[in-house]
Amino acid sequence: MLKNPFVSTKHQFKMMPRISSNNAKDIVAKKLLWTYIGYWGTFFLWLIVSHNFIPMIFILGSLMWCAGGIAAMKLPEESSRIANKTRFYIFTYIAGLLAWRVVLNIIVETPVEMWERALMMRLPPAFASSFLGFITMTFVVGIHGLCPALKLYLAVIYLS
Amino acid sequence: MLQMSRNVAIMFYNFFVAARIYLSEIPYFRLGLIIVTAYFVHVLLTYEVAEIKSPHTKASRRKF
Repeated sequence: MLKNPFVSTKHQFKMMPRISSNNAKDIVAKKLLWTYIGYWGTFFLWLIVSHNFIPMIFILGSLMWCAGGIAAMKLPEESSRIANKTRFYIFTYIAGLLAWRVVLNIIVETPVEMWERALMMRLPPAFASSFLGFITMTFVVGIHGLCPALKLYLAVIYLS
Repeated sequence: MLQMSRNVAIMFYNFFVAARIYLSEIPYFRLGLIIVTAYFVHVLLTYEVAEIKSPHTKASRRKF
């Protein structure tokens, strides 16, 4: 006999939380508040930061959010871990983008003589430009690598 | 106090002005991507909230 899809029996098996003390309720409310602030804050920070870079960075970050969401839907038993990890990855991405700008600014504004004095060693005149290239390449690798890294993590969870 | 409340009101108004400019500048595909991304953020947030609201009935404990 076919099941009637319009009659749901899900609510009969739903277990509701039983939080009796006010202290526990306060803790739950605080956790909920920080969760809402954390997720939407990370999202809006992501929008603001990625708006100041090339569009590809925004697309990669969106793919990360979407991959996390789809993986959480597919694996409900691991959903909270996946959600935490996705947010952590996005936050790392944002921090990396901002840190890269700061580091690049410092490197560009510091002459080779200052680097020599700071490191107490002789450096070639091309040090600043080569170091800039190194940092740029690191940034490029990181930017392209973080999105596949999250997907790899999700794939490992899915397969295990 | 009056000045501060005036500044807060201007900031509140400027938020909408900035949002309008931002939304009018960005192309449609990007707007669509933002909406889709926001939906998945909402999904992740929903799972996290369910986990916090009912820690003894959470899905991660029910897998056994």
